[in-house]
Amino acid sequence: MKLARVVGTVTSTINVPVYDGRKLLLCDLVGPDGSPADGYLIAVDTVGAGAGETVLLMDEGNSARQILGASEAPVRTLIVGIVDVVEVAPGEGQAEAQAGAAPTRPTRSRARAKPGPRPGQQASRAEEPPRRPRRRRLA
Amino acid sequence: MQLARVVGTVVASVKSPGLDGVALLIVQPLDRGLAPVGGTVVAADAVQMAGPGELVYIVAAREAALAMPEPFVPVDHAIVGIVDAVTTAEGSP
Repeated sequence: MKLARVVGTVTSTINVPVYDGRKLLLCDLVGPDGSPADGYLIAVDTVGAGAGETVLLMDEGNSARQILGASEAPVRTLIVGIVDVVEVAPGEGQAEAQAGAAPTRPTRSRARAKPGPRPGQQASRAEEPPRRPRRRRLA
Repeated sequence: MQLARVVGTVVASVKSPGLDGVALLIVQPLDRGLAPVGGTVVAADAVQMAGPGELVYIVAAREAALAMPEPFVPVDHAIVGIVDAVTTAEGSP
């Protein structure tokens, strides 16, 4: 999985059928600190991500096809999560983590439109009361 | 998936079985500002409508072959869509 920031959208009317009705987002790859990494990917949105958000990309075809339920679809890259916080363990690039704490913490206050299908484990997120973001430590 | 520009066509009369009738196009991968990045590659046209000059998006690796009518073909890049617009916060590149 990769960290990326959504920077735009790609629209097309002539495409392979599996992309019909799916939102394609242009995602710049970023490091744990939110700084640009090399490259970008066009990804199919499965969680309702929007421009400016830090997201979790899955760049692996079999998993992507499994999530979409399309066993022979030419799909490889999916947005599978919206990142709240990235925390880097002390001594493992601490400087980057502190420098990038702000950019990797997207604002979550606005109501989010949910156009696309959502994985089951995230379906109840909107109903949950606001809580402290879950922190994930990268070993 | 990546953006690419179709820059040419390839004609091959002798091809691996399964590639008959598949259009092969030369595409130049692009960065998100639509500037060329890396060298050109030959991609199979899975939408069967792309032509030189068009902005497309391509899928690479095993997924490319899945875009073809016969999924077990020796294809490693395929054009899976023709781009109408790319929109970013800075506007269309």
